[in-house]
Amino acid sequence: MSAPRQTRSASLGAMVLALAALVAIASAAGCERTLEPAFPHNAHLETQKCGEPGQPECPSCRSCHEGIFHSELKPIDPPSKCAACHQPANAKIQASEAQINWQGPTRKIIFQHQQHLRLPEISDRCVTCHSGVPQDGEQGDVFPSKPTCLRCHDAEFEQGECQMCHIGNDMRRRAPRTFLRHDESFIRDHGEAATREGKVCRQCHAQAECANCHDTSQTIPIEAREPSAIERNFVHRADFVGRHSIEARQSPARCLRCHELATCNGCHVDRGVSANRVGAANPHPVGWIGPDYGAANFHGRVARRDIVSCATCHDQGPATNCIRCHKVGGYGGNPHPAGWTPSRSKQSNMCRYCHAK
Amino acid sequence: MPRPRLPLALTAALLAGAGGARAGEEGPAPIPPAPMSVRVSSDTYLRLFERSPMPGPNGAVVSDTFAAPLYEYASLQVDNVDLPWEPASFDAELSAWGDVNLAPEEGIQRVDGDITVASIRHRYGWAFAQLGRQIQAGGAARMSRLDGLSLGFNAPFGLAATAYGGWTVLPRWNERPGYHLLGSAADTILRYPDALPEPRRDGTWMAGGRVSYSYLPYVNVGASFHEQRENGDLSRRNIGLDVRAVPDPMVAITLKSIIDADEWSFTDARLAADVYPVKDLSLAAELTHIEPSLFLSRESVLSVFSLDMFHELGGSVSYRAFDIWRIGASGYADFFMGSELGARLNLNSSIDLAQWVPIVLRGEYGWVAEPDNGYHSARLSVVYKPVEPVALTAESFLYFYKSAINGVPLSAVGALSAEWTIAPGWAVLGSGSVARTPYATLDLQALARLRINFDWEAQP
Repeated sequence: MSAPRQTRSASLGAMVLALAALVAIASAAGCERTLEPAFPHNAHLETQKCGEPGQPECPSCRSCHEGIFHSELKPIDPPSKCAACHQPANAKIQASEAQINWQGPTRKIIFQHQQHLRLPEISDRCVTCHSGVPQDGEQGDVFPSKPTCLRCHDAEFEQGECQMCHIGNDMRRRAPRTFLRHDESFIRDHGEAATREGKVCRQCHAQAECANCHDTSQTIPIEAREPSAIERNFVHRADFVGRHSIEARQSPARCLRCHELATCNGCHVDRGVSANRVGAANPHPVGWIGPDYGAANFHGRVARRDIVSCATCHDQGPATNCIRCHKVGGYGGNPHPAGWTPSRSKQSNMCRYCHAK
Repeated sequence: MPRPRLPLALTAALLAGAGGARAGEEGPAPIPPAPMSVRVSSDTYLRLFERSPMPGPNGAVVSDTFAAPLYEYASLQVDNVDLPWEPASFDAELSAWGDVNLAPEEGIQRVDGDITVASIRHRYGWAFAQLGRQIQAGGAARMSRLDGLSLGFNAPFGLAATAYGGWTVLPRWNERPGYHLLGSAADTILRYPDALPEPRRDGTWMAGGRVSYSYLPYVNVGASFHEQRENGDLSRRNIGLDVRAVPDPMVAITLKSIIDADEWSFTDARLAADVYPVKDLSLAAELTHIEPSLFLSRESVLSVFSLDMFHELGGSVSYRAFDIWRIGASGYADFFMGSELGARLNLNSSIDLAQWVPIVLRGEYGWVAEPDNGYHSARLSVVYKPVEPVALTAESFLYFYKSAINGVPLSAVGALSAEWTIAPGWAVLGSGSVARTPYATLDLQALARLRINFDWEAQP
């Protein structure tokens, strides 16, 4: 094995080790899940001795949250009810009470508890949605996540009827965290998500926002338009022109997901490195044409692997210089790869470049 | 505005079904119609360039360049307008951009611009129709822009379908992509002017559709078709298949593939698994198959030169700890058929010190390798908000190339920006950058931006 290959193998090994270490660190850190300061539901609902002679009455959700069964305006009754069991003068209890937000969460969700509690699927059982409350969030959701809502409201979601729960202008300023979360995986699959949930996307995004990144005919790139958005992972940030050939060869065809070959060729002609430029420089190394077919620099090997890079300068229809040699009767030989079977008639426009009678 | 005509019998039947179902529904209180909303935005940019290029090909002498383009991006979006026969059922979007070069150079257009999106959309029950310049994304369409019509429906039981057709959007209606890079110089420097022909507007079109079924939040399955023609000949004919399964809120499996229906081979296929084992931790693994030649137009003579494919295997992890610290890593290795390995790696971390000082720090390391070259990169960024309406940023980038490009072993870029939110919806930004790259001994850029956003929503 050559020295560069050994270096590359070592680098790859280091990369795998680094990834594994990161996963381990992240997993360990993730297990130390911290909870926001909140009412100790578990101590009241699960671990407290109650209901037996000499013990207090067992509390339930309704003991403190009776109000929510009747009105959204008064979701939590304490701390007035605490005194029924706790001595008001107990300093420890008073200190704990001071840390609790008795007003409840200030989420801007339109929600009717009364209407939902009456549903047969719920039947006044708060834990149907708030399953994590008895364990203080150690297991299950304290507040229902989006998938919980979708168990019943999938039809409204399909129709993009977000206004049932969300206030439009408020929603536009929030990134989804529990459903359609906009993480790195979302970047990978956002095209399909936009197809599936087009109307949902539209609640926050205009189609012009898609074009801001994907419309390559715009003359100012998105990176230049958003110089302060350091948190966004733009593809062409900083000196992309300098490294573009490396990026293109590292993952052939990735560029073609957005760019037309004519765009590449336009710039290459302008810079004098396209075969379609009068007096263009030849960027290829010695041995590119031959005669050593086995050489690492031989163009055939590179072309097989990355034909897209060839096409960025050499795709000139019938004037393509590749087919001066690689045509029927030409000394360059048959360019079609092993196993290639024609899918179209030799009379088609492109095939006739070489196969014309 | 006349109601868009929906001539298909199937669509008519669906419309009737949608109306019937709505009228006959019983149960919970009906959902109120979405309130009408209007969004207007305008971004105005002034850029200044001063660039000293490296010597041109074969050591050709080049001269410093200066440019001062002024850009305007404007958009209007109106949603949920009531129509007499259906409340909150009409949407419209118009966005466009234009630029004028205040210091024009020879060969560079002085005035340019285009319409980005211009469409109207009507929803009736489950069905919808959209007419005008629009975007189709995902599946076989990838990311396509067309001037045409799309029709579809989203049924409450999870079945959805879309069909579309129209002219492919070309720059400035009928120019070839990238034409602005050459300008009028094209006539004198092209060896084969015929190799870059003007597009034939009537022969450059696309059509396609998608059918999908979803059982939320567990599974979504879709099949799509897209055909695109350039100058009357086949550019691409693709079939897309995609599946997303969420068996558990902590796990998502995605499979998406595009088949070239001309060669009957996979253009690309990707299998990915995303896992969210604990709050704020996400892990992903991916396997991708790509056949590059199938990304070329079927009319490209080079598309029949290679069938080689490559596979990419990799994954990513990201974690947010203590609400202030984010770390992320991703790594991918490429396996070419009978050839060398390519790879890329990214490690990044950011920390938000807002609890103590209004500063966010971000650092990033990257490594890319391909058979001929590669680079290591480093990026450092900082955001400082001294007072609420003001944000200052500073960034630096370094790219160290394995083999010097144009004789230069590294690129170095530094950038600063300052943004001030004058009032709700009004913000001004100024930024500047300095760079030394393989293609410029010195590259100075400055940008000023005025951003105006206006949101209005009718009160229910």
